[in-house]
Amino acid sequence: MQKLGFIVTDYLAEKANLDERIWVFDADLADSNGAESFIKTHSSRYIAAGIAEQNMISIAAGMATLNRIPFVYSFSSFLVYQAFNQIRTCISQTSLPVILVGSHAGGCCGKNGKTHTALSDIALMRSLPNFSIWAPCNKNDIAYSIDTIIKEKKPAYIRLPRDTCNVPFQKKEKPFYWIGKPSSVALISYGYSTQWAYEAQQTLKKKNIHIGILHFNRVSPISCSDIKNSLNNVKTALILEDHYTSGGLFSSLNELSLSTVLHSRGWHSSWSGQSGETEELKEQQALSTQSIINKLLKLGLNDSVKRIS
Amino acid sequence: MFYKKENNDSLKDRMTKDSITLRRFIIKYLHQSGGGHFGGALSVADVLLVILKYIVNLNSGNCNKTYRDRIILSKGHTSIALYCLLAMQNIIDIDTLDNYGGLNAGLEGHPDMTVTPGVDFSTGSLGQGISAGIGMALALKNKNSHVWVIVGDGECQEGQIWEAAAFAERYKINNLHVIVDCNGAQEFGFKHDKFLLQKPLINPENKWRAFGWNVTSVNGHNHLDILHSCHAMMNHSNGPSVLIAQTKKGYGVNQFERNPEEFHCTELSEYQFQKALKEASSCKNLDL
Repeated sequence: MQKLGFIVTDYLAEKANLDERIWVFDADLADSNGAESFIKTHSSRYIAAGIAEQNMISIAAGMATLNRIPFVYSFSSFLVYQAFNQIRTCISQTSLPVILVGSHAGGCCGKNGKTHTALSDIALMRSLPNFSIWAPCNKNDIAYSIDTIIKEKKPAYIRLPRDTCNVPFQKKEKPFYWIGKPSSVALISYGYSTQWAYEAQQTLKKKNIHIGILHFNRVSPISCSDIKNSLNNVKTALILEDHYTSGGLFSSLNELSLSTVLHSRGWHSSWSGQSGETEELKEQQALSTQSIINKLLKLGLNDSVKRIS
Repeated sequence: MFYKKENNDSLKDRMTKDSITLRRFIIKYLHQSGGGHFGGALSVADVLLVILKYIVNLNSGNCNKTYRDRIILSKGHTSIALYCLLAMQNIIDIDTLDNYGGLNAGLEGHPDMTVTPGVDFSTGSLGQGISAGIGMALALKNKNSHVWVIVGDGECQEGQIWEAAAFAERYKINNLHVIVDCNGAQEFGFKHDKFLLQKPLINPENKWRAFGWNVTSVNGHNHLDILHSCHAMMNHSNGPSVLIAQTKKGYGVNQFERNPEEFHCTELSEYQFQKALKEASSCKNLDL
């Protein structure tokens, strides 16, 4: 199974055949984040920026002033944290169409450990004007996000995990949508956390318990009225975040004064990240499939199932 | 390119006249707005004048064109010098200078490409201009267009400057030209410790040469020398070029030149203002 970063690049390469404005930049991680394959098809529009993210961001912004659309790759941590000031001044304040493609976002970075995690990147990025933040979980999400970003011609951040996702392909071209029917107790997730939600959903399904997942492909900006409509019959929702529970989607949705009671599960605010296999890290941080199911049961999932039946 | 071959003496006279006008504008409008970066604006004035008026093909008719030369004032705190020149070139209305730095004036304290015609990139957070210029130069490759970036010597303390320098060498970007305004002073500097090296940038020529750039030095207040150096830079085809412009902070006004740190960013009394205007009006001395 392909990592999402590689799928992004394949789609970009396809788009770039017809759109000469598309360029790809990378800060020496192309083999890990998926940018590499663009060289095979469009080497003249591929820039190896070397290990110098601040320079790379500003170069891309300068290029964007001449009607180019640069997609700038690295690990999320090195884009957002290493070059945040350049993102702020050169992209956000100018509203230039530079697209950040950050892989290895969130807390699951294998042996790499804490320096490579990005646990508050959404909090930082959604504080900036003009940016949209995307967290696709499959090929269809990626196509929709890139098409929308190019059409909008504004700054964007595509947030991708290190691990693969196997959430089934859904032909839903919307910023957010239900995976399975809505349920009274539901899961809300985005990007890699939708993989966690999907695993919980499939485990519950084997016990004949249904839970709906409201998946956000676009994390920011979000439309208040659309979300209220989508959550119309949802009494309680557990938001899963591959991010600190503060500053991410839980915080965004709490700002909307929804009638749905919101709870969250994400990386604990006192945790800085560490080395370890994904399942080990999730287990330690109460994010394993069983931990999520236990939390849902505490939130009344069983009761709601009984009521429905 | 607007530069036409003409008698050097008449060109020299015209440039001197322009530079006096520019200096008077800088002092007048900075004072009027409540003060600002007198020192750096006056040190960079002559370089900016030559580039904007005699080198780049920027005018009121082509500001929005994709394929034309670009100019980035990376040391954005000296924006007043750029704005005065844009007004002298009729790219912006001279009346807008009256509201420089004010709310909705169209002239932000630091250059903002989203509000001011002729500002090719937003600057103010030091160190970013060369990188942005590289992006433009890459997009302008084989389009017979050049990108000029003006940085300060203090600004060269930023690490991103050297990330950009290494990148431009690697990609041999020959339509990118940097001018370092070496005015020898910065806001606070290092005078508190006599054991520290005092100049903002030590051995600039050696540093840029070590990064593989074509390096030239010039008296940064001698218009013709600057002009000729710029032409030589445009003819250098094997990679990026940098011009080390040796300047004086506050050039043209004695009180500024004598106290470069004090007049880095300040406001003037009415007496200081009138004296500065008078001195700037007769500034023809090109000796450093």
